[in-house]
Amino acid sequence: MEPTDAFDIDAMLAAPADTAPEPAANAAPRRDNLQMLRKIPVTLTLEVGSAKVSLLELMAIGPGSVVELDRLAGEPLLIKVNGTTVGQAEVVVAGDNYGLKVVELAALDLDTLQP
Amino acid sequence: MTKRTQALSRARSKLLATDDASRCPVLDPRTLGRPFHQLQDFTARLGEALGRYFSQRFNRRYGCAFSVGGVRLQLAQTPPGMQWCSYRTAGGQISVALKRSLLLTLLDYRYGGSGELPPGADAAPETESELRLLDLLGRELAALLQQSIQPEATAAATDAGPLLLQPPAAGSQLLQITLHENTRQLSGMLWLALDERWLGQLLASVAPRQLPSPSDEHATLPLGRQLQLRLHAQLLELQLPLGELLALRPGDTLPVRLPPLARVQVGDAHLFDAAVAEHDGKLWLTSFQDVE
Repeated sequence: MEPTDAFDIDAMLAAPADTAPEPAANAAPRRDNLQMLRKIPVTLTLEVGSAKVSLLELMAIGPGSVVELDRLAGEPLLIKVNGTTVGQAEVVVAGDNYGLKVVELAALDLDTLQP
Repeated sequence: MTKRTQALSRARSKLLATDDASRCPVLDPRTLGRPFHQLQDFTARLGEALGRYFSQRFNRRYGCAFSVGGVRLQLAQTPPGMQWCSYRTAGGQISVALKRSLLLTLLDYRYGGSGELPPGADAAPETESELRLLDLLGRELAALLQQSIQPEATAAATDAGPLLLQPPAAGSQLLQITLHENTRQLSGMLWLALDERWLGQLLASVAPRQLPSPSDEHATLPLGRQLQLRLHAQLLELQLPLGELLALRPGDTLPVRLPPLARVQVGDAHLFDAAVAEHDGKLWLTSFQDVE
């Protein structure tokens, strides 16, 4: 009996199996944490300075009060994000408008947060 | 505020690794703020006391074989269809209920039987004898529970008072006791319900509150001087996505509109507006205006 082309075992063994799992294709899509983090709303505040007072002193504050802050005149203002200091800035005048010029900003690369 | 509480409130939060999350069992929110997690010793002691009670009071006398499998405090609804015996004791209300098949088995033993119940005995109407036994059991268990919570209490102080055929008071917590009768291979629940007053006494007995002593100099300071607050003077507040913030680089300029006065806040509370002044090289706040 002549061998037929319909049953070529060498070709079948050489070919990749159709049923082989493809982990990347079958796995659930990985959550894009970085994209999620970038959307989080944060509050940026520009702080002139702060002062520690007691409750009694706070209650006594009136129009004529003068309270010393913990910053020197001419020092850059503090940039805070959600209450945490992340950098410094100065106020600049651009025509009729004001601008907040970033002097220093903590480097945070979100890519380094990936587990 | 005690030194310990101050230290705890200032402590920095920790983030545990995911693998360690199993070390942190989830708590029922109703147990927060009170030392429910320290009740294991009490439930173990109560289990032993109940085991001795059933052994001395019933097993030896009537030839039965009751034993206690376990005791745990259960924050759950009272089981339906149970006959409760409640007692207004000096320290609050205690209620007792027992699975009926166990009660009937105990009753049969007391009448000289072998504890074997005829089929359908559970469904038969309740008898006076059964109720009297439940009341006897209830009074003795209520007294035992009181002595377990307050070991120094006298016998007169643990008197259970008149029987009330009513379910536990609202807000009661259940001590769920697994009871076995080993001769008849029966198991069931015995419930002891503590009302809020008794539960408070139980929790106070396992972890007495540490109140600050009068000699603590910080505690004697007037709160107005002791309580320190930080005023923050802000010129600007912007909401923006984190991605935009991270795109900023030194040298970038954001167009802003600056108010003539700074916002003066304590925490999130905007209390004043004030002018920023300079004197002797330092910054000062002045011309305070109250914020409505």
